[in-house]
Amino acid sequence: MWNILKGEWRKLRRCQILLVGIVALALCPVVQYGTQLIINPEIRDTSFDFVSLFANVIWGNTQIFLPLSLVMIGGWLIDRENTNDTMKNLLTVPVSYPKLLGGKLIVTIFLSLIFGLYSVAVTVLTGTIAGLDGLSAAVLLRQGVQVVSAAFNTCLVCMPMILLFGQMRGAYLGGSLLTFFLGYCILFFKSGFLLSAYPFSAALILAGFDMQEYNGATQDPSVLLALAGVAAVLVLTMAILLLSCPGKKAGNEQKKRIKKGRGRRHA
Amino acid sequence: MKDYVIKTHGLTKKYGEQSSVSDLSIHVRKGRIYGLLGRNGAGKTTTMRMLLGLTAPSSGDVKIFGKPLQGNEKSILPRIGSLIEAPGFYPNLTGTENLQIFADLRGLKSQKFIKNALEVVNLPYRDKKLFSQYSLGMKQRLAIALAVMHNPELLILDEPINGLDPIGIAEIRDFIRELCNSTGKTILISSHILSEISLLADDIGIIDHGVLLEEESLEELEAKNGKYFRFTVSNAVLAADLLQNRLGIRNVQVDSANEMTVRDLRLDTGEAVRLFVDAGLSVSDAHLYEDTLEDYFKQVTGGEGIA
Repeated sequence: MWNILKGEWRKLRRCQILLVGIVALALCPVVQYGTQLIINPEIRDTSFDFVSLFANVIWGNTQIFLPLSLVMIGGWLIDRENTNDTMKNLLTVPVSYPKLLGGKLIVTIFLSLIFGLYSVAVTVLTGTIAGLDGLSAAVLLRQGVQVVSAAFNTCLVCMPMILLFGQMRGAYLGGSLLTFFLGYCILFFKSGFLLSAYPFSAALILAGFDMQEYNGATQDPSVLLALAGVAAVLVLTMAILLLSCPGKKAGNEQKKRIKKGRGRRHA
Repeated sequence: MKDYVIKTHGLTKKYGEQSSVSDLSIHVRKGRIYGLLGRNGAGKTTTMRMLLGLTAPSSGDVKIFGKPLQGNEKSILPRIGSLIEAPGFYPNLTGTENLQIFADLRGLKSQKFIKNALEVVNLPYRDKKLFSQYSLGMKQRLAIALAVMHNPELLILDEPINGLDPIGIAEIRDFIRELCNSTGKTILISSHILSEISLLADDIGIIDHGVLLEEESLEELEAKNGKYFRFTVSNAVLAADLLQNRLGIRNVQVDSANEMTVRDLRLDTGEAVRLFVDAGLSVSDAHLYEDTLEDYFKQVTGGEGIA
């Protein structure tokens, strides 16, 4: 497994798709702070400080930017083995297909941690440039840990989408858009079972995010339900991993051959 | 019993109703180069994919190194080096970086494996050029380097000379021959280029529309190539009559008013020419011809030629 991970890490060299995450996470604090500037002054948060900015960034990352970026990058990591035609080289080593996919997920999780740290840095930079108050070592540590752990949890709940859409040839872009939509849906669950168990909400709750203050939740979320939500996603991920097999190529061959056959008959 | 490195029995691959490979039984002997010859779409690549476990057969079985492939992939595949279809590598990495990934996966710790593999295909070690900037020939060379990097006992090479220039083709041909001769490796190579197979292979399997039509050694195939006499005379009908009735020659075929073909090799051309001249016929040509491997290929595939 270590060799698979090492290989997956090496494959990321000079990959421009990483820019998606870098740009998206740089945009998040800018967009969140910008929103404060353009909203109606009557509802504007007059005490908007670093803590508020961090909270907004955590929310924005989990709701929009991380699902979009992580599914796109993770899905691409899987998809590229087919588009670059490298899967045959891996399978004849032989590398176990579920292990290969698992390696890609672990690398994506590692990327989410790096993106989390990067997000902290960009948030501090944005807040400093904007002249926000309230930055201290304690705030930085507390909020920084929350940003990184929210990124980690968000990656965990994105894993089934990464696996499903990564294995469908060229579908990872569609998958990232769908995941963005799923992330956006946190907004609709302000009470009841889904407030806590909905995987994206659960990702935030387990990171210690205050859902009542920042999501307008009407009741206290349940950590147990949040754990159950994330656990369900992990079970689903494991099931997809174990059921995955590199059968796509054969499917494409079949299509090609049928087309070839038709061509020959007409010729 | 011969020592077969690859042996298939009734190997069949169907896609729906369409058969890509039908009832294929090939026998690749240890330390030999086996050339799988066939036109594009004949089923060569599908066969090789099945031999590597990349495509599951619809029926039939594959034995490699005497063991069924299915269920023994972990012990069999590391002993094989392969190149299937187009070279597949990561475009954002250099050749060395690409090989490094597979060297790690194969547990090859030393850099000398990568260095040697690149050296044999004449590619530079630690070059800065990315795979996406490689020419088709360089890509093909890198794929061959990957196939031989871990010093496998068996090489399965699907059209390895695709995209190479004539000098590159000759180099790779010599390299493959040398691998077989000096290290005793067994090599299964496919091609649609008959001349390449005839220059390289010890044993040849001819595949067409998924069916193995012939499987023999190159010597046996060459021995099978038909020999015949052709005569150009002033009256071919009369000449044919003379050969059959006076010399007892059989298999005489009149091709036109002046030309005939004789496939009975007992014929003494000097005697035949004297007979024709004595009968008042003029003889303008008498030759012994031999079919080429290409003619033989056309014959067994039902008249379709090959590049």
